[in-house]
Amino acid sequence: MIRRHPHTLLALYVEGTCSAAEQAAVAAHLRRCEACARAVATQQPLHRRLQRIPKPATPPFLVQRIMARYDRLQQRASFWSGFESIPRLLQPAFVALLLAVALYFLWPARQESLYDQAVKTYASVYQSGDNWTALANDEDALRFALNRPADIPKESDHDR
Amino acid sequence: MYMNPRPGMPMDNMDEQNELIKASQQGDRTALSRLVDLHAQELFGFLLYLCGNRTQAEDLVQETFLRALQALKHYQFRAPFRAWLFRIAVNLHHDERRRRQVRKPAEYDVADEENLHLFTADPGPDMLAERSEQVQALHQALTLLPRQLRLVVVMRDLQEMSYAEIGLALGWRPGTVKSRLFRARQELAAHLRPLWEEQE
Repeated sequence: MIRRHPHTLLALYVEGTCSAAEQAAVAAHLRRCEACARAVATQQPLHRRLQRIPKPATPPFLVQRIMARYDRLQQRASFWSGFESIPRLLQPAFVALLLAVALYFLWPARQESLYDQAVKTYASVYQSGDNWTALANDEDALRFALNRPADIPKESDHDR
Repeated sequence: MYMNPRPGMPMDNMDEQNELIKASQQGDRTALSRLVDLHAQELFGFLLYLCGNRTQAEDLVQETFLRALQALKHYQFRAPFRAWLFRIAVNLHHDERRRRQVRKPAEYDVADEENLHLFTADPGPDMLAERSEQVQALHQALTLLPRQLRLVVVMRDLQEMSYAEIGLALGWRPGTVKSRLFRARQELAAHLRPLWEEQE
């Protein structure tokens, strides 16, 4: 015997999809419960009427439009498929490497280090055939270019 | 390439649908297109009742299918495909509502004369008029229902989905689906009865 309003069973009863046992139990409840009997009497014609409402037709070319959009998305996705072939754990490292390379080449105010400047000075002096070529060796010349004259041996020392 | 064993016939057989899905997962575009064709009408109908606006419903159908097709390779046949598809649609509709901060569906345009062909391929003038009034009354009544009740009554009584499918699509237990359906029908009947009695 059903003691509470059996709303879950009533939904099935309205459609006529209850099992025989459930149907008998609900019918017994409906004989005693006026509220549920009224609800079922209201809902049964509504359910029948809703089922007669025709289904909306698909708008023309809807499927074709969907497939065209899908194809465009696939084309875009194939551009990134190379990246996706890299193992997932290595993807951030790959992105970081790309960024580092890009920054190296694109950084606007990249300055030469002091050492680079010194090497260039040394090279230009060496090629010009100036007196400084008389410096004992490349190391001395570099020291000179790096503006550390105190360490450079004097010409007279070489002569000795 | 996938060949439909019954060209032009509706595919109600689950095995055949699963075959279509498997072929689609392997990149068969014909199977993919057929899969979309198979579910486009019911999904459009569902979203049309939910939004009450043809343009919005069409946009949501397209978005739903695009999401579903892109995620199809991850579909593992644990839930019925229709429930999986409708769940995506329900979530998208929810997001759309939240994005627009709309509490009620957009302005109803379904029963406008130019849109009546949506409900039948070749209606006569009398049928058009009757259908127009019925559909308009139904939609007016649906807009008065809370969203959860509207969802369940549209899925069950207008789209004829099973309780299991509705439960999976909405993330509800079967008992919840049935009790909410009972409440939904009760509220819908209260709103519809005066409108339909007027028409009779």
